[in-house]
Amino acid sequence: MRKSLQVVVFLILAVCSAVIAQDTKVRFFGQPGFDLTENTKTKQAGSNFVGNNFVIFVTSQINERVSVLSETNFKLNFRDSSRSSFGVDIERLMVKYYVNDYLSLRFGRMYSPLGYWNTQYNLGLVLQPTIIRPRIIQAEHEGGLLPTRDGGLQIEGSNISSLRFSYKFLISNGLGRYGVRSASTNAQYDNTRYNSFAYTLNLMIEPIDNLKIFASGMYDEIKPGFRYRGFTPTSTLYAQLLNGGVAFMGADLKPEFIAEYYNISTKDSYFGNTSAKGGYVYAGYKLTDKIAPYAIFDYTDYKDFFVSSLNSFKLGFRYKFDANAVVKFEYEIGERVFASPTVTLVRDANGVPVFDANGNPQIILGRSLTYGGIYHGPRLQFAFAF
Amino acid sequence: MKDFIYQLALGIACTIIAIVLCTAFTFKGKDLHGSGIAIIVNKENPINDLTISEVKLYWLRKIKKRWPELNKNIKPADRKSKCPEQDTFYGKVLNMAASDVETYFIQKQYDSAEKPQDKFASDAAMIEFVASEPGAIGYVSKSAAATAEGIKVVLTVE
Repeated sequence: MRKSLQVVVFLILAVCSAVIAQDTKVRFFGQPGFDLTENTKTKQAGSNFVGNNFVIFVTSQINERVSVLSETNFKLNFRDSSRSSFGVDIERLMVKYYVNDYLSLRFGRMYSPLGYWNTQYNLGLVLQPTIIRPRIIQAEHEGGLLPTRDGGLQIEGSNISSLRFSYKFLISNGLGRYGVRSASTNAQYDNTRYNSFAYTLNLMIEPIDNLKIFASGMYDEIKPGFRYRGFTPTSTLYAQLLNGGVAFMGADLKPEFIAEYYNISTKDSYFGNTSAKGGYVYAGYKLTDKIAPYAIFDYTDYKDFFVSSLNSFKLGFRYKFDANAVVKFEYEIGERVFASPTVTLVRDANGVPVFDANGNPQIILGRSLTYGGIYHGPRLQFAFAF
Repeated sequence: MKDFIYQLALGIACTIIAIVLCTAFTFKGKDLHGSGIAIIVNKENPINDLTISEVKLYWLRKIKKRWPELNKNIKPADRKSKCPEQDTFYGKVLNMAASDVETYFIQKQYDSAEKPQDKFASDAAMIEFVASEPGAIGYVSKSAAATAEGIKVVLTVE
């Protein structure tokens, strides 16, 4: 029902924008792919057709200052044996109002202004330099930790002063958005049935053309009853994200370089202080207008969050038929470490469990690590737009 | 560790072989043929002269998105398909390959809903557009610009 409604809303908006707008551009993105992975520890091998999504991207210049953008993702999951594993997501739906070069407003659902990669490369993989995005910036809804897209109001400006300073400030729903809370937890936390906003700031300078040095951060509070990372905190959870990096990328440049580091920390009464960190270093070089070999080292430490951590190295190349069709080939080798929570009862000298004043047993939360082995394999993607 | 090194070496070898195979079929000499072009703007635009680097910045809307004195959006005009004028403009003004120009505008559209460049089939169509849009900037052959009305030439490139 919800999906149908999204499709209807999208179609209405697309038609309306086409009728109202002076200039409407529609693009379609697709990126079928294939990957073959083998784990040297478990000796398991998997081969999958992946990335079977199709994106409709519409922009309209309504007048000199107002433009609208919508991006709808139609997904077909080949890994799911169910025939109904077809989904529709409205990735972005926003209005942009341009005041001047130093001030623009965006309103609606958009990509969070975190770091560099997340603001530049998303579903239009014909633009992305690699087949898949680095693990640290995988979307929250795909098993990652970042709120890569969110609904809200963004104020931005660019090319300020000779340093070409730019800023983006987003006030958004954040991780504990209202729609996530289930009906049963609504009743339990009736007195806190509201959501606090998340605040995201991205600052960047471009001292020489195409060299971008940036830092971004997000602060969010997740109220009791809202699900986050698979559990429902019983007290307010504070989440903070910090990012920094440098990028030297441009359509007219031969060398390509991006390096980013993220630190995500949370604090709540149950798990206490936890943090996840990670980053990546990407380097490539355009040998010709068509061919660019590249390498990317990807690192995540998610042990505190009980999600698998990895070190991965990918070597690949892109072959660009033209701006609208790119083939990418990668060979990846990496290793995983799995973390799971452990609970230990506190016992006194006689081995009797210790209880607190409320009669609850005292516990020590810990974690156990399991080495997941080395995995490796090739990956192929054909990304196109028209 | 031995396994890791072996698999890493295998991956590197596969990638190098693939690059060599593809490169062997694609290295060709660049087409540097072109002709003299004129960079044109609307006659209402107070700007009279631009350097090559300024034309690049304005046409790509890289730093400014509006003409400072005209207070109108910069509207870059391009040719629909490969032609001598486009070769000269891309090669000598932008210093970019055709596919990179297209990628640049797709990226801008994807990132911030910016309208890509308008495209025209001929010099006459581009002149008509530039003459009717105060914020437009385009390129045509020098001979076409010499006789056109409603536009002015801010730079010529051989």
